[in-house]
Amino acid sequence: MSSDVHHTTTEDVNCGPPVLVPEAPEPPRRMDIPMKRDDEPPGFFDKPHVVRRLQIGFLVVLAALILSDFFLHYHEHLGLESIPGFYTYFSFVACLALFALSKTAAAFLKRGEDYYD
Amino acid sequence: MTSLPTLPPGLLFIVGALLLPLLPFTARRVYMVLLASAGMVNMLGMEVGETLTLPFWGHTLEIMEVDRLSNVFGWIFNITAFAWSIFSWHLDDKRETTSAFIYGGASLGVIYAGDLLTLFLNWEVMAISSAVVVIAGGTAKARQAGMRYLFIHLMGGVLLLFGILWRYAETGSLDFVAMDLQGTAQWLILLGFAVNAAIPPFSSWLSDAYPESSATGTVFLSAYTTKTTVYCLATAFAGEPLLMYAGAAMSVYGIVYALNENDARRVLSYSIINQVGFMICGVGIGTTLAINGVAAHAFCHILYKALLLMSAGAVMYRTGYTKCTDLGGLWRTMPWTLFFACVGAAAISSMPFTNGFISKSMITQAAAESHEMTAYIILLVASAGVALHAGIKFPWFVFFNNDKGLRPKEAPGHMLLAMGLVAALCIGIGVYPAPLYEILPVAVTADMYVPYTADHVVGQFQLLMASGVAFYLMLPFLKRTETISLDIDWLYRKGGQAFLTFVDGPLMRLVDRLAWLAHERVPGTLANFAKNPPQAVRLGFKRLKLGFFGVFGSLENVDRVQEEVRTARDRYEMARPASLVPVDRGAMFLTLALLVYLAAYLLD
Repeated sequence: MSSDVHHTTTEDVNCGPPVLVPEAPEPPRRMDIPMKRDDEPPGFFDKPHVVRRLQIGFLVVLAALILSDFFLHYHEHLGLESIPGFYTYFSFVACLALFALSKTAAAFLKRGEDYYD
Repeated sequence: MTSLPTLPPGLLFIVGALLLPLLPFTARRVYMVLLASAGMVNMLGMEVGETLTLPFWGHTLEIMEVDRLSNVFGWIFNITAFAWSIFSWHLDDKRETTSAFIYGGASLGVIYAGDLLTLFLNWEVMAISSAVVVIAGGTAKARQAGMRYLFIHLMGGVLLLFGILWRYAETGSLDFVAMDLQGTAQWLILLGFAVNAAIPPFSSWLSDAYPESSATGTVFLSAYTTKTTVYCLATAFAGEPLLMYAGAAMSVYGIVYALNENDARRVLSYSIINQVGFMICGVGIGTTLAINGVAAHAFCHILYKALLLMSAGAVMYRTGYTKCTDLGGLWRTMPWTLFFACVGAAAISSMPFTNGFISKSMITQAAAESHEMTAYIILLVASAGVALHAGIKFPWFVFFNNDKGLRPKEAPGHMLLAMGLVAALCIGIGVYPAPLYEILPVAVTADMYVPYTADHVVGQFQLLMASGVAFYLMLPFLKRTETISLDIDWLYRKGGQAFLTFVDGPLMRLVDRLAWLAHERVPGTLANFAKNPPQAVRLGFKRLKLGFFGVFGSLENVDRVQEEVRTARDRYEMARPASLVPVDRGAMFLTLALLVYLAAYLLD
């Protein structure tokens, strides 16, 4: 919208005086956000070895959880819970299924941001 | 328990809010915190079974009827209002703060309403005041979304009102009690509730409007409307199987949309629909454990959702951005906001030792114990999906992902304080759930439900971590694009545009044509006729005759009739036009006659 005044359709219908609705200003964009400086030292998560260790730690914990299933008794609702690591596999498959579902939905429903404007 | 007189909590907020616009900024924000504190103090005196009635046109309105379920909601609504008044300490907007407190008060009015009429009145106040909170977002988009929001909620209100009146006509009772889903009245009431509960296909108002309101407004909005309705459904329609499936479907719907969404606050809005899905499913299961789970989950959900939206609000306040495509890498300069967002994310994923774990697991457990395996499996899938879209996606895209070079300041102190307060509650209730379990509709005992067992904890951690692995592997497919997803609101947004186009074009042409007929063509014909009626009839007849001979007659005949028409027109025009006889003379005679009649009547 180039002008700062928005003409509603009422004016085009020509059944009364033109109604002018001033466009409300956009939210104040904080253009004064401090930006990255060139001499900035790398932060905690910027270091590759930190990320590597976090990833390894994550997998170790997951493996420990699956292993602990050998010593735990699960209350059976589906009849499958006693398989060690059942919830891991279940969740992984469920997430992939949800991804597939949302990607399928997106193929039909995705539009540009200005679709309604 | 206490000698303090208890006030209806709803009225306390509504009447208290009316003073807000009169106060200057500094006094106003102090008053806001005090008002919310007064609400919590007042809650201490709310004893179960207490009622407050008001005569109204031959009816008795129960404007307050305290039961255990309403107290759970009453507490969390007051706590949220308190945390929100701290979070919006910077907010110098009379419109937003006033309407927010009226809206919160009306929500409290609904959950303490003892009859359907009181419920409906508060329902409408909620609709209007919450729409004002949306519109107070201040942008053109907020105003438009607010009007759509109001339109949908007023429609829902009309459905509810029809249902209430219909039910009154059938049963003669306005009591707000459990209902059977038999008959039109109950269906209408259910539909009215469904709109506010955001059950698809009536859900698009939520994801449409909430993300358009201000950084603070969304936090407030997220707590009340849907959870108020969860209370209503749990009171009226507990154990209704339809709700169980609707809730399960909702929980998946929310995830599918949230995964495709770019705006972080809209991701969290879809996630409300997902979480309310769990609650509605629990209402549908309807056992004691399930209803307990619903109340507990509503309580906990409000806390962590407020926390998540507060962190998104703080980011918006500092950067002006809400979209994933604009954000990223904020962990460097907003570590506390990140920390609180992660607490919220852990809680919504129901990670053990957060409040989400001790509440949601009750609902899934209730589904399993009632042998509702379809619902159980869907809820389990949705639990994995929650971690995906709200638990990982939200913090990842806002605080990590690609560094966009933004180095905003940490959130202001009052926001950190509010977030810290809510985060402490999220973790506190998660670690020590006993106080919450005690106030549930049926106090939770060890033989009803124990959240912390080794298999629950290990199973839940596995569920969450596997979902983390899936997210990591799927990251390349999750690249955010500047897009939106169509929802049911397409019907009324595009439908509205199409309607305007129709009105503008074809309908206006038709109206113009009708106006010409009514204002020119018909009066013109009548005037011509009235000028000289006998000759006008004669002329018309001759013209008809000419038309007939023009088609069927010979050339000589046509010439002859044309001559006749000409003569007829001359005679018509030669006559003294009737319009020349002045009306005033006739009117004067008539007046005189009436005067004579009046005189005769009076002198008689």
